[in-house]
Amino acid sequence: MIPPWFAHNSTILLHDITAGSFDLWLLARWTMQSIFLSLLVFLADLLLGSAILRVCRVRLPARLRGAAAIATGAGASAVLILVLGILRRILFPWVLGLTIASALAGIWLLLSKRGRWYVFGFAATLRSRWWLLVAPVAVFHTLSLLMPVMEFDATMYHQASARWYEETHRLAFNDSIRFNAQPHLPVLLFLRHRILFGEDMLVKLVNVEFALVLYLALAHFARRLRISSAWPVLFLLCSPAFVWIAQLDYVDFAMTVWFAAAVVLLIERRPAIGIAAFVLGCAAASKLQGTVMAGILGASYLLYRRDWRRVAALAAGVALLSLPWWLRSFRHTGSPIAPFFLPGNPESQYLFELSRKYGDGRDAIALLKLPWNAVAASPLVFADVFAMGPVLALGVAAGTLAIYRRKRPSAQTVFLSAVFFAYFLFWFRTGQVMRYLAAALPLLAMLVASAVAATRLPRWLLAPLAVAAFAISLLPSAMIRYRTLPPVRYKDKEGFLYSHLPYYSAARELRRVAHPAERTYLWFAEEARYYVPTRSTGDWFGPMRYGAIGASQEPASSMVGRIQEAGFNYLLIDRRLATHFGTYGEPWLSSGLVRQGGPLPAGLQPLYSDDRYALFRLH
Amino acid sequence: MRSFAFTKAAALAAALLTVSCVTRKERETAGPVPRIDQILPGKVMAGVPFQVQPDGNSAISVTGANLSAGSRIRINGMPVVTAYGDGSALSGLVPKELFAEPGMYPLSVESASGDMSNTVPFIVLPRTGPQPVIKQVFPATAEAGKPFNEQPGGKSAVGITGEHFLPGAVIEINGEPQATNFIDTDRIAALVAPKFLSRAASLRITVLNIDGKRSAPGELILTAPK
Repeated sequence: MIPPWFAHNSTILLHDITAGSFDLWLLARWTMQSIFLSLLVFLADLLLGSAILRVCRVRLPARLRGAAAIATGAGASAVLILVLGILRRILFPWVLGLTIASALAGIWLLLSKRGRWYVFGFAATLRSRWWLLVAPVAVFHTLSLLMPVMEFDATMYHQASARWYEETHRLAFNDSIRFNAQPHLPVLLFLRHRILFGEDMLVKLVNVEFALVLYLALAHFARRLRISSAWPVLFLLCSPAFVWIAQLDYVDFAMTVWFAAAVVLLIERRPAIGIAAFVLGCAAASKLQGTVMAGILGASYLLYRRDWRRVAALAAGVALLSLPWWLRSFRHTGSPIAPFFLPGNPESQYLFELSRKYGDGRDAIALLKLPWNAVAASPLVFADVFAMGPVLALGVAAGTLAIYRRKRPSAQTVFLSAVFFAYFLFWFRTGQVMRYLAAALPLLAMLVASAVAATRLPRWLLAPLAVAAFAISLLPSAMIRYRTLPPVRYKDKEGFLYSHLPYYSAARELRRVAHPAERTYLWFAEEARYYVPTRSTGDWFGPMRYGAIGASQEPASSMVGRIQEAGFNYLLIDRRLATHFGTYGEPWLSSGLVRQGGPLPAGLQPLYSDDRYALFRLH
Repeated sequence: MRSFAFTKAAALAAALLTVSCVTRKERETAGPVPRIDQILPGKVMAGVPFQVQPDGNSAISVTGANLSAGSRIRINGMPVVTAYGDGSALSGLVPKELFAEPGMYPLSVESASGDMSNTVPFIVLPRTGPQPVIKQVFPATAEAGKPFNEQPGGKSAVGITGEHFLPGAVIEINGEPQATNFIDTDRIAALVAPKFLSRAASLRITVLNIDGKRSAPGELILTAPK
């Protein structure tokens, strides 16, 4: 579970921190400023969400009220940004005005109604002494959130989409960005942050807002069980994969938290079904995985409460929030959930085939081995950088103990178990990507908390669990992974990206010579999309996919000819991946496109070449 | 009481925000820009490897200031595989494509943060050129048996100024090639074998370029010992 580079990188990081040239004061101020500015945005969401709860006359306990207010406010803000996108008004004054207006509207609605201010109802949570222990770990993880945009899927599509919308000022469909047709509501919150603050390094701080929602929801759940809220929280921190997604600028964490919040809202004795439906709709509008999870939740809830009207309300929430995305996808691709349901399009089949390669098998033995593999097997087997950790084993242990101590589980536990195991089996049979399973971990955390309550585990066990959880949670730290602290100065950021992204130097060269309106074809270099300054195309998916550009045993010149005919101005190639993945045959592999010093097809002017990437201008 | 606590919290937040404010100017603070003082070799022959490394690659050295870790040498815009040292020197492996054709190519250093150094010319000379010309021999006269232009090994050295010397050119003394150091197209030097220096004589000095063209002879006169 411990990555082989962890000790080495930690030593280098410690050395850098203690070096005389390191400006701790500047970093501390930058961090405080970033958090403070982000908190203002979160406050706007909180006010808006609280007002919505007030208008809907929703009565909830303090912690759950806080969670529901922020989750609803964030969802409503994302929807408002979506509306701005439809109106082609994704511009700084509009986004700022919208944020201020939503905060003011929240204050006005709260003031105009009699009764307590719902906003401050959850402030009691902050009094807990628990925070003294959590603070150092929280600071560490907060610093990791200030790293530049650099993770593979973020530069390929999550943040590439945000950049595209910022440039076009609308939610313009872009078939060159992977999965752009699919729902991605949280990207609009990342977009708001980058537009308001003009700095893409701050976008991951959006996750702080969702971490707060998750904490409050779990704290409420634990309080109902009369156990410490530390149990479910520490359980989640024991999963490197979960902490990792909480630090990523992907949509996964927002979806996970919206889904968890919806579950916690639904298991209330008198659930706020409208709010739960809205929050669940936000989860479904985050990515297709969220729609699947919402479906499983709805089916399980029907069995749990046997109330068609409530399930219909949930379905309506999912449909309402997802509808704009489905319509957008249908308009541009012909399918509401492209690339699925597109006859003749091989991409859905390819996605399934790709997903089935992950994991250690799909039989009963693989299932039994999973808790062990989640700790010991290389995380790459499960398509991620970090392992799931001991959480599955802990879940099995807690469940076994609970069954041993208490023979009949509560209906609520059965419901949570049904949702978790139904999703788990779906995950196990389709794509065993750890990140996808991590989305269901809050459910497992609730089940473990239920087991703790049922078995009355002693409170002192929290101390060793806290030590283990805090230590494990440091494993996926971006600071340790990249051996450095977040860069504050622009030059340091340039140096950071140059040092850690192998394609960045070529992209920087392109920035020197290219105009933003020009077009670049990325050949096996789709992860460079975010930092390529021009419009870019090139991926395993889409109409200009690699497979459509080249064919086996075809000379490189005819493949380049196709790109020239399509009107591209530049060609960026990852030579290593082109060699590894290229199914194009010897004429391609021996050309100067892939092999340094090899013969170049006509019409190419070399602009940049290093031991991995090559950049050409197309005549 | 509660409003007093709220006021304190608000004041603390305001103070923190004021203290923590990081200005754009602070973020724009630039680090030191790399500077090139000298490159070695500055002139090479087209297609002829130079400073050959064990793996067969040609290498170039750059000395200067602020040549920090992560810096890359760029020749004619192309980055080369670069190794760094203490900040005052870099060395790079030059692919043969970059010195295949004669020309004067800009060489610069790009720091990790994207700062570019001054540019110096990296000259690739054609493999053939005009006949070399000797203008002066240093020394023109010397005393037999007595060292001149003494080098660390105790050997004497002869220097020549002239024109059209090419990298790889060799100084010949009475037709015998000597261990030669190409300095520039107008300067060249060689260690003189001791056997030529023992008695008074007039030594015939020529320069043979790599393309086979030989200069008209110059002269180094060794006088009898006093």
